Amino acid sequence: MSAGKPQPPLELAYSDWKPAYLYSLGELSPFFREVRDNRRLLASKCPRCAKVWMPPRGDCPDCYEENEWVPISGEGTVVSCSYCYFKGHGIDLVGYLDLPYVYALIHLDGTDTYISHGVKPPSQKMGEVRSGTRVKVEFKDHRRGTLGDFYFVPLG
Amino acid sequence: MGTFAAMEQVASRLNAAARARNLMEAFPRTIQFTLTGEGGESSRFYVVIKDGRMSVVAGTADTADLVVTGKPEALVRVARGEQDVSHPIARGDLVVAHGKVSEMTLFNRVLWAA
Amino acid sequence: MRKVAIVGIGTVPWQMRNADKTFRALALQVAKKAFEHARLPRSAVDHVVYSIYCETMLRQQIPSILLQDYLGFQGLSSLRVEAGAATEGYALAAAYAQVAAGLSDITLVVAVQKGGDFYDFETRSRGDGFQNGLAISMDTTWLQPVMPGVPPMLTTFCLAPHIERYGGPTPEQLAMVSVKNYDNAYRNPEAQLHQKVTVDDVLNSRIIAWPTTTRMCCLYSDGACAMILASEERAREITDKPIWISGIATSSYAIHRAEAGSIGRMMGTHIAAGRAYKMAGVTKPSEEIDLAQVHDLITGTEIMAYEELGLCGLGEGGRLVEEGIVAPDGKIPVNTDGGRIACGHVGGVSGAYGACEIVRQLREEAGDRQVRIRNGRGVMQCIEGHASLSAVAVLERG
Repeated sequence: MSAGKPQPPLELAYSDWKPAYLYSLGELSPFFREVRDNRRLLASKCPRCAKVWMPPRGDCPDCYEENEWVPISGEGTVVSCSYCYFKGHGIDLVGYLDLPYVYALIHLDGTDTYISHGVKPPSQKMGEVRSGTRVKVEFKDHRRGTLGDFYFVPLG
Repeated sequence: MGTFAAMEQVASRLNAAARARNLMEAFPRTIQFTLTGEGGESSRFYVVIKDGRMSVVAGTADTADLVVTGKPEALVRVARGEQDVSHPIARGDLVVAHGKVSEMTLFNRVLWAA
Repeated sequence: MRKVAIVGIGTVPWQMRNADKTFRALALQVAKKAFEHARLPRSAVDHVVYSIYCETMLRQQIPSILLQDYLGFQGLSSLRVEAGAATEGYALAAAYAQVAAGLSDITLVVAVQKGGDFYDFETRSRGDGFQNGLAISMDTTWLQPVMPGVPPMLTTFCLAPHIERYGGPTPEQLAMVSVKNYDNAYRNPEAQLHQKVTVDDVLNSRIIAWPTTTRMCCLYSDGACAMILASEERAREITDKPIWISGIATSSYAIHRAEAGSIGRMMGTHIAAGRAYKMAGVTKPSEEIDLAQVHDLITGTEIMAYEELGLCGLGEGGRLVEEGIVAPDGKIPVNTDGGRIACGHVGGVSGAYGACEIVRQLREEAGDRQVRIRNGRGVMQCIEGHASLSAVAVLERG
């Protein structure tokens, strides 16, 4: 198909597709309500196999039983981590904490699985947070009820 | 080459390149550098990115969005395109004493835009 | 179950942005090339499988409606497959199943995706726009709010624990994979990048998530490719160089749910490879596989793929690149097309392009990039951004 002198393709700016939600957290509501209102973490425990899931889930995927909520201390151990010195534009928690951002797999005390989350390191230099570092949860002053309402810092 | 001169060279290259000016238009900042060489000599200058252009000024700015301290040779390597700024920060050779470290990524992006 | 072969392929150059064509025209371009390569008329196709990972990138949901229309497949059956950046492996499995089961004699697989239309108006960067748009592919409750991107996720979930557990790969070995793939891309006219890099260039590029640097990370691209699958009977009529899909399998394995024994592994690839090899009758991959195309979303996952595909033992992947075993003149060349870090990458297309590369190599049509073929067998692997979904396919000639 041609129509006269070739021109570069026409580019249109679109920022219209920004779906708006009043999103229900359903069975996860107790976890996020506890984060927002009481600055406390909960894990979910299967009443049949006793496995404690973190991140929590409403049902045990092994037993298909409805899980129960159990409080945890919010302290844990870094399983593995990586120092990030790059921030993609739209990641809120990384912007809030600044770089370097230590993205870590964390084994929280009292749970049987790992959660991935951000650890705020003590300095801009690499290496102080590593596998085996003990961490504890810290909550933001303003919380909405999302995973980004808290983060972790090294203990001691 | 001194750090100031190296940065001036980068600035004139960037100011002549449309792509770099486009990025600089989106990143207006004043960045203060207060660097200390191996022999203890200090190098103080600031970079002003404004209206899509970069200028390098000796001395201390009245106000700065970012203040960077550390080793001058580390900054020269970044300015020359040899090593990304994340490395000297990770080593502790450059420290963002005031302002967000994440903005240094954007500054690096500007520096290497031409 | 019938045997199934790839009898034609259609590929186009990878570009960071192909502004000249919308995804419709891109899809038609590669489909047309595949028909020409197979010397088949369009009317021969009785089923179409679309490998399309991401609707938000296309700015279009249910894209198969538009494509069935644009490609002129009125009344034809079709299926659109989605599985993150493993989509193409899952699509190939679905296409294979349709033909093997006798529900189709000739299935066209079309892989198409546009990464380059995303844009960040604040920073004026397509790269940032791509990262922002990609965010909804991550678990929006438990990952996206805290996760700084796919390379950090793969580094934290897979590479860092692997290094803890096995003592490697070293940063230098990770960089050697980059050098190898950039070199391979240099010889691939369809590759997005035609640059040479040194180990130092790679190590000095931006730290994305230690030890992964920018030059160890996959590109983002607009891409497309097509393959024509045929039943055994039809395949032998169509070409004297059919490439058989002798094994194909998929597996899902949530890394963050990893039990202690599987940390530092890519269990999805391990399980899928086991199933695919069993189907293909491969018992010693390090001897029986001639070449591989794997997902170097970061060079760390390429090295881990060597291990999970059985090309070497666990923890030995770094040694493989250091000793040149996976170089183009080595025993098992890997990513001769240039890999995802230098040839181009977009979910839904990359692994299909990798399968096309294996087809070219096994048919000895790879020109400057041609590697030595001993057994006539190659393996394609793909993973998506969490390394949770994985697909493996064994392709062979004969």
